[in-house]
Amino acid sequence: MSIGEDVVVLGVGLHPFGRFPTKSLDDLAREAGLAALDDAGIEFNQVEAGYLGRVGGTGPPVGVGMRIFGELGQHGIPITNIELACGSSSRSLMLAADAIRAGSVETAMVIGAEKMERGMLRVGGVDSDGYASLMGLNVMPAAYAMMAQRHMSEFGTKPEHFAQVSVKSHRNAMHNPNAQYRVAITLEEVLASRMVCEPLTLYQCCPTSDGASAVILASASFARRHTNTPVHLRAWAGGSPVYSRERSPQGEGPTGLVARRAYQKAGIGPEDVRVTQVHDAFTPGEILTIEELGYVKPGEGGPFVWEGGTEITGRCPVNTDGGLLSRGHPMGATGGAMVTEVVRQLRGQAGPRQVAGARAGLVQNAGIGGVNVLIFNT
Amino acid sequence: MTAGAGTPVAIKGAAFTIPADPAERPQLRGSACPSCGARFAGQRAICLGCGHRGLDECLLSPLGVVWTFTIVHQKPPGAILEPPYVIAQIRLQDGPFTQSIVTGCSVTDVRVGMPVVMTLYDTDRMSDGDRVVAFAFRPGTDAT
Ligand SMILES: [Zn+2]
Repeated sequence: MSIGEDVVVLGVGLHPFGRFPTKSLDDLAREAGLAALDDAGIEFNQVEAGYLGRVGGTGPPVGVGMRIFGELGQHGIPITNIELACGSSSRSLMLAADAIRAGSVETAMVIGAEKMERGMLRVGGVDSDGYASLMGLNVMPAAYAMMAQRHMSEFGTKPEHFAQVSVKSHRNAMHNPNAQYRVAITLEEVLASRMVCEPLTLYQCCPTSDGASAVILASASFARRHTNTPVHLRAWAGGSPVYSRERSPQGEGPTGLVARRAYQKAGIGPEDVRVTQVHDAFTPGEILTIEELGYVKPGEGGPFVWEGGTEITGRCPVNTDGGLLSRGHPMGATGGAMVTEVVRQLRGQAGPRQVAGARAGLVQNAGIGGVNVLIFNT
Repeated sequence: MTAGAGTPVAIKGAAFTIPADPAERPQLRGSACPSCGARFAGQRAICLGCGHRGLDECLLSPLGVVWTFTIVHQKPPGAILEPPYVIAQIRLQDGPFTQSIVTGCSVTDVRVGMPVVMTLYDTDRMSDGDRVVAFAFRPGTDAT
């Protein structure tokens, strides 16, 4: 153990995403955790720190991490609960990676877990007689729909471009046994589904989900004793909104700024990334994010998706496991699931959804203004 | 707005004036930075532009333009508006952004860049004998 060591993803595991009314949050989390331990080939008593990413919703709000990690074993390690809305488990991973790079621990485990209610996500708390609730303003799809409308106005992006994101995501999820929706849908079906917030139809909104993810990180020296084919967490960066007098405070955080920091730390550029998972809670998430990540120029995201640029066989494969739209979005578990997919891609374990020649991958995960970018390579 | 019994009071969670003279325009209450001049909707203690501590209360311009918008077709739980209705982000003439519904035109007439003016919106709700009033923006310019 030493300061400044490389960080390796030693194990990943998921509980499938979907609806599991007979399972508790703890059940989901434990199954994901055990899957990651098996994948890493280590026992829980070799884990030196635990981080739980979770937003809330149903179940007890306090001390959940202690309870969940306590079911896997009790050997006195520090447990920390992390909440960054839909970016909770990727932020947990960043803090775990910081601890390893600082030389504080050799291994750390992140569990992300969530059980959610059905229905439209609302921004902020439920203030039943307040202005935003009564006037119908605090609706999550509206926030993304307004990003879409601004993009359409500035660049001429078309509703069909956004809809195509969902077509591609659903096709990818057919090959993912852990995905919530495993059915193909056509462009016509996406566009004809019920309008929610123009231009976004129902099939352009991610579902609410139950699910869990787990990721085990280790120092490179620890990892060498357990794997010959390590996937490195090469760089990570996070951010929160940047005030501007000139632009509205919309969006899911300053992805472009955070990505530039992450590229600089990793010593690579967008052209080196071969597989990417982005935060597509709604279809504009993919089109706007690939621009901010520097894969295409501002305004080119719509036509790029339309022409297949983000397909598994395209120049920049995005959301190869179905993304939030089709894999599902149990908020606290999502970041870990994105990392799981990138790791499987870089190991060549992605089966029918494998991207050829993937050596470097990127995760962009966002939560109400907080945004995380993580870069991996082999 | 429709006339009704009771004193009009601003809806909880929003701060704006309700002029006694219906010919006068309602205005959002905001905060102004005495150091750099930046303005913000609502109450702030510290300037986001320059970090100055202690902002002045001010009334914001009732005029603005639609920065972006969407037509909402699904009624959120607890909302009093019936879809379809328009939510917009509006850039006020004196700088700050605010979010509001847009009334006074067909939902399909709203465009990015459309000039709008602030207006009152009667919620048809009462609170302790007072009439609860919200705000909206409608198409219009300084002359209208
Ligand atoms: Zn200032």
